[in-house]
Amino acid sequence: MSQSLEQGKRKLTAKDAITAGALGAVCIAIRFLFMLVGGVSPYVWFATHFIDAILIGPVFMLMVAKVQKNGPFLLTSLITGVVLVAATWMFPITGLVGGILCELCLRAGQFRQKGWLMLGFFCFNLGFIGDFLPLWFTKESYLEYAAQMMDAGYMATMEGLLTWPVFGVIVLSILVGSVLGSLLGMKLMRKHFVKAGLAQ
Amino acid sequence: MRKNIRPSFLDPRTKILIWLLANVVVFTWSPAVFQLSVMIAYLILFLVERKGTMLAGLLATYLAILAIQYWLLPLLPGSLATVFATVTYFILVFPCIAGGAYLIATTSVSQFIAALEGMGAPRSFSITLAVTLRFLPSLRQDLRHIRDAMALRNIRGFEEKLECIYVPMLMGAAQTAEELSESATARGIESPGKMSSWRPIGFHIQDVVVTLLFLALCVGGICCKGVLP
Repeated sequence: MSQSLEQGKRKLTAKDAITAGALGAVCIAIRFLFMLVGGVSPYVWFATHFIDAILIGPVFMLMVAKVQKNGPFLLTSLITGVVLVAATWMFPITGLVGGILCELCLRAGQFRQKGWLMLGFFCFNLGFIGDFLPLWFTKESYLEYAAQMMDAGYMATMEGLLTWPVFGVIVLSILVGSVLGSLLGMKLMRKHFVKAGLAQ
Repeated sequence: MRKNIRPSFLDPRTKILIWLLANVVVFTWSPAVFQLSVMIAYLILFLVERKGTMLAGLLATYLAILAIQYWLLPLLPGSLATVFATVTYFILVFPCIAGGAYLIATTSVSQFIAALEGMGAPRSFSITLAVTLRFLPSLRQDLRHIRDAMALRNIRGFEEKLECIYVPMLMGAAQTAEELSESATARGIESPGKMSSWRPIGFHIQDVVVTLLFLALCVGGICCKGVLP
């Protein structure tokens, strides 16, 4: 246990990989659940990342406390992408980018400084934004395709929804959610996990 | 225990490849004919692997979405219809969803690992993936137990409920991870040599045929764009 506290340059052991897998499964379960909920309507869908970020905060903080080295966040982020890849092929790519950014932030903060932890967590959540990207990047073809089946009023609303400002709002909501989530995570850590001897 | 194992029809690597090709077909917005062909190809693959119930579930979902699209949406006023706008999106990406479901439903975790080993993926990646996949069902079980315990204690309030679900769940996951890693290390998961697999994987003639079929659909879809509806 005590060796793993030496700063994050040590190699990842099988134990770290398994911890990452177990806690990653919790992340994936949460994301998947809200993805299904979000399938109902675009408004709900756009809000799901905000809720995701809040709920995943404790998981993230626990993982930081348990592993304290680089690697597992990238792995978790990437694997979330791979497992949920059925929704869109963008997931692994954004997951990879978000995961790397997250690792860099954590390393910069020595896995300890709160500001860096929050920033890292924000990057971690951004890694999941892939599910919107195809809608934005292939907007023209998508709208053209949808126009064959839908009436004009519907199309106008949809076109108004798929704009970059709306995308900005989504990113902003993820930022707010990440801050709230990491605060919740730190609170739970202090209140329960440290007391139970699961983490320092 | 290992009696009912049949060799899988396709190699896991082939499954990943055809799934990527199916994504190309969908996201280059190929003509509808090709998207439908991908769907049908996957339906046949499901049948070959004898995953009838799963196939029925997928088809039912698809038909339900189509029903909403064609019967419910025209009845609603424009503003309300946007509420269900994602439905259209789901119809479009459905072949990908079917492909992903096929990949996950027909491949065991050990086959996944063997395929990843074969492709030269780092060990830490394959271990994490395997543990994640293995953990998902056990999370559901944990959740059920926690809910029972909560009912017993009569817990109220959203925040309190959240905490009462979350903390035991994370504790459980962390604890299990610890035990699992001890047992896995004792069994030599960190041994540096090449791993073997209980269920050997390999390429066969059907892999070639299916890959060629999907490749043809992919190329055809891109070439015929704008020619066919």
